[in-house]
Amino acid sequence: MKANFALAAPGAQGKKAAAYILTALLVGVLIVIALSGHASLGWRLALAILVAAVVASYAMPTFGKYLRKRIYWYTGTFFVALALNFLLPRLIPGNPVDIILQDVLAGITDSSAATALKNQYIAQLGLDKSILEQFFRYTGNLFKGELGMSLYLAQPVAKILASKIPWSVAIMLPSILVGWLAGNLLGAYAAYKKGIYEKVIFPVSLFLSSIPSFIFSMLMLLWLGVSWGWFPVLGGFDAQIISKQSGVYYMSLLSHWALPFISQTLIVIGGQAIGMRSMALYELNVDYVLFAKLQGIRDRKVTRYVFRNAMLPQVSGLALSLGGMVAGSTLIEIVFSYPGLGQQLMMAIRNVDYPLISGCTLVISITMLVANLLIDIIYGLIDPRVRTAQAEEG
Amino acid sequence: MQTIKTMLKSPRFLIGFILVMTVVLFAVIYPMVDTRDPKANRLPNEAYEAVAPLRAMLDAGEGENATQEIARLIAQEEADFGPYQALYGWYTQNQIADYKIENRSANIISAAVDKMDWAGIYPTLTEYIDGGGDRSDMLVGMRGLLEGNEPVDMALDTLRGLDTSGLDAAGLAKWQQLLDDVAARLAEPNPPMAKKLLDDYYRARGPMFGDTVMLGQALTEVNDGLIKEIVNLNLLFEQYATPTLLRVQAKIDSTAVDKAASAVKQIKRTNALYAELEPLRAIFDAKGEDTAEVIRLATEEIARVRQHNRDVLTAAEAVREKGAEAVSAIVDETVRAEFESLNAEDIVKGAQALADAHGETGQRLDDALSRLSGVGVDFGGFKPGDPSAIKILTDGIPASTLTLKNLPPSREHPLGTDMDSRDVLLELAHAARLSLMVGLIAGCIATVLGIIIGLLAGYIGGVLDSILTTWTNLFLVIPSFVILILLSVAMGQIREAWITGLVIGLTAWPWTAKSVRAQTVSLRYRDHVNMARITGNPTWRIIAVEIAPYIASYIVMAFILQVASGIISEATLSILGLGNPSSISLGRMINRAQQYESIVNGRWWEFVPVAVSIAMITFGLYMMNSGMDQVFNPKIRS
Repeated sequence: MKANFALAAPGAQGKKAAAYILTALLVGVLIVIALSGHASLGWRLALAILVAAVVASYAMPTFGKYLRKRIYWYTGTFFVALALNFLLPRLIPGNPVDIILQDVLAGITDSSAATALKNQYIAQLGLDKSILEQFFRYTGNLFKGELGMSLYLAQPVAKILASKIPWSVAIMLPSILVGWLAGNLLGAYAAYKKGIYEKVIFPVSLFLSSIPSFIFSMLMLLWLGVSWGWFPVLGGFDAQIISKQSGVYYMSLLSHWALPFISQTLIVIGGQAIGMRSMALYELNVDYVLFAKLQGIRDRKVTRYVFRNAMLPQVSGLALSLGGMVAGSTLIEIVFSYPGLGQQLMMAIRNVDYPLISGCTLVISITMLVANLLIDIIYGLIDPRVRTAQAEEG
Repeated sequence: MQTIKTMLKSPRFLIGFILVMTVVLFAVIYPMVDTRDPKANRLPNEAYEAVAPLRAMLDAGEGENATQEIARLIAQEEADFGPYQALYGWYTQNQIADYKIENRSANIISAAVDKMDWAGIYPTLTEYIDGGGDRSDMLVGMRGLLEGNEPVDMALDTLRGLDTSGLDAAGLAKWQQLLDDVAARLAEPNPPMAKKLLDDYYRARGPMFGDTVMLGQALTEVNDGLIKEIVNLNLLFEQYATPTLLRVQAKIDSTAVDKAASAVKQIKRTNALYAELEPLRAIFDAKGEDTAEVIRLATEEIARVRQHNRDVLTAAEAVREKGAEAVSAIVDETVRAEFESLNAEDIVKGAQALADAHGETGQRLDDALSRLSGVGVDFGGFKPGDPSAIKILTDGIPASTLTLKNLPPSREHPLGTDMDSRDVLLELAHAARLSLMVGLIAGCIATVLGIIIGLLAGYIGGVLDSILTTWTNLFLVIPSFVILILLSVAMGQIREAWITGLVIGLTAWPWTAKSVRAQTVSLRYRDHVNMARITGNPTWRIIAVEIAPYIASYIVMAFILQVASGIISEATLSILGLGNPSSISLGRMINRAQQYESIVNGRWWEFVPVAVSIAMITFGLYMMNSGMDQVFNPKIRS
């Protein structure tokens, strides 16, 4: 029941018409943005894919309808997320310029000079315009790939983000993939074998998945990094290495990467094993299994059906963890002082660097949205129940 | 009742319950038993540590050992200015950092502190430690700054220095009046009154309004802190700095010898009088442990040589006036010998050269002598190496008020102390209390919101359902993490704990709402609900009587998970630096451990207990949830 988009609410022809008009408008806006020559290459590519998907969806009867609805819904959600990202930081009481200029103004005793400086900043940030105009400007800039300047680092936010994301991905992507695979195998094993395996695997997994990841990471860092000294404890590489091309540098990268990777993988294994176990247990007890057994179908065949069904939520779990990758790495990076986006977010918060903070949160939101859209599409493809339910509803 | 009994039979639920209750009871009871303030301001301990062995010796009446200890301290080259450096480090880091963290408007305050030239102390100290300039002057200047409540005066100076060019005569008079009033009040000193005067002035809004506002803020927000710090610093000076000064005095004495020696050694081998200074050089070269003895011998020797030099100069004067016959009139034999060795044909010229050479060495010797004759600074009447003086000083330190920082666990501090000398056990109890409270508030708000929205959407359906479900799905997809960060940034760091709980609750409801809606939809057309509807029961009654009981167990489970995630969210915010810096929560403790690098330095007691507490709460809550799941969902019972 994922999609219960208001536009596609049951009944009422008028509502349906309104829905079409609204979606047409949304898509229209996107196309205009894409063609206006302002959008950056990445955005154009993303929009092209979306429009292509919408066009292609008309060739497929049931799935196409489902796909279209999901795309429209996520486009709408994207704008809501954008609006939140734009509005929430503007809730700050007082003028942001005052906060930005706090240090500078403290040194200026001439009040007319201070006012002039303030006005210059207000004009530069467009704060003298109406809130709606500011939002359009913000959105326009975003599509141009401009997220403003970091107040503290005095660099374009987009550039900072681009340099930090690879670090986060390097930790999270491998650990999610490895952890997902190992976790599901373990969970299925625990559910199927029961007995002693379950008594060990289940509590350990529950423990791993229920304690916060940063706690586990801290303990890993203390034991493996500090006490036993197996791994370096700080940063993404040895800061004393100057040449970034040498083999020493790559070895240093690898050794700094290992501990966060191991910690994160163990955490993912715990979570996935729990999920897989309970799904498998649930499926093993469903009536069709009993029925199949009574019919005399071989155990192995039944087990295959059971795990195929139990896998479904796990697939979405994978996509969700991939979407939450950037958000999930935040605290781990802070614990290990790993130079990724999370560390950058913390620094931005510490330095009250609003453009950078909202840049980071925007990246986190967008990856989450894309992951969710992909889950819905994958679900529609592999689970016929979802597809029909959605199509009937609309 | 029956359900509760069943649940308590579930080992999983029981384990979870015990884990959670352990932390809860600890957090509730321990602060009642130990009523100390976990954030109590404690003095730094580096200086205290430095004189601790000395203090022990003095306490034991081992005067001789104490003297040796002082000598050792003096000789120890790398510990030269140790306590001072520690004091300096504490001063620069904690002082400014604390202002920045503890106060509402960090930047304004640090700007104000700068403005008051409070920071002027640091260069002075730095210069002193780097050994530049005349050290004794440095010490005197620094002591003045430390003792004299200087910053408040400087604030006044800043006021006086403001640009008043835009004021008319009346305004100027009023301003002058204000200055006098402020000065009078500051002399008392009563900063709040001064602040009130400034407030009065704000209404006039003169041209230096901005500056005055700044100062007003500085006076109100900083002054309490400043005065506290000044008191602390005075205390520090009396208790820690003065013993160090004694050592500095000794150091100065020994450097005086070095300097004097180098002044003497500048007299080169080519100098005619090089040989004459041989005994002096020998004294300096043989310089042993006993500086005072060297100073005495060298002073005597210099005085002797200098006297000889003066005699030669007088003799040379006479020779220049009266010629060769004056030589025979010289009484001093060594002087006469020197003159007799001169070339008889040009005795006046020779006398001139002799006088020049003696004059030059004489100046150097005067220089050396002045260096040896002491620094001329009064260090509070204490003489270097005077054990009784040091005893007076060290006895004044009440050991009980001092808690060493970063102490590993001991009997007095079962979990050690942290980087601010706080007792970790006590801090942990307070932190757990706050975190549990935030978690409960967040859990309650999220669950109540989730139930209301879920029930309304699920039972009433139609347009309301569409709207609410769209809304719920929106916030399920947009990460609550992001909204939480943005809201917290927008609200600023200073907020009550319940507001943090509220914000977390407001972002955490969607998944509860979604599940409640799904369950309600499945119940909506059950026979008993239909029956109630047909018989004309009001909607609220149907929801309360026919639907709520069926989802009650689910709601309790959801609530438990919401509390757990609320506690984690609070910790996450704090670790990101979005927590209230003046409160003590579990997340804040981890944040501080992170900031002060406790993990990397292996000070496990500063964060492992916190980590274990959080793990116990969250793991316990998940176990409870999982245990209840077993009881209520027989299908997955294994």
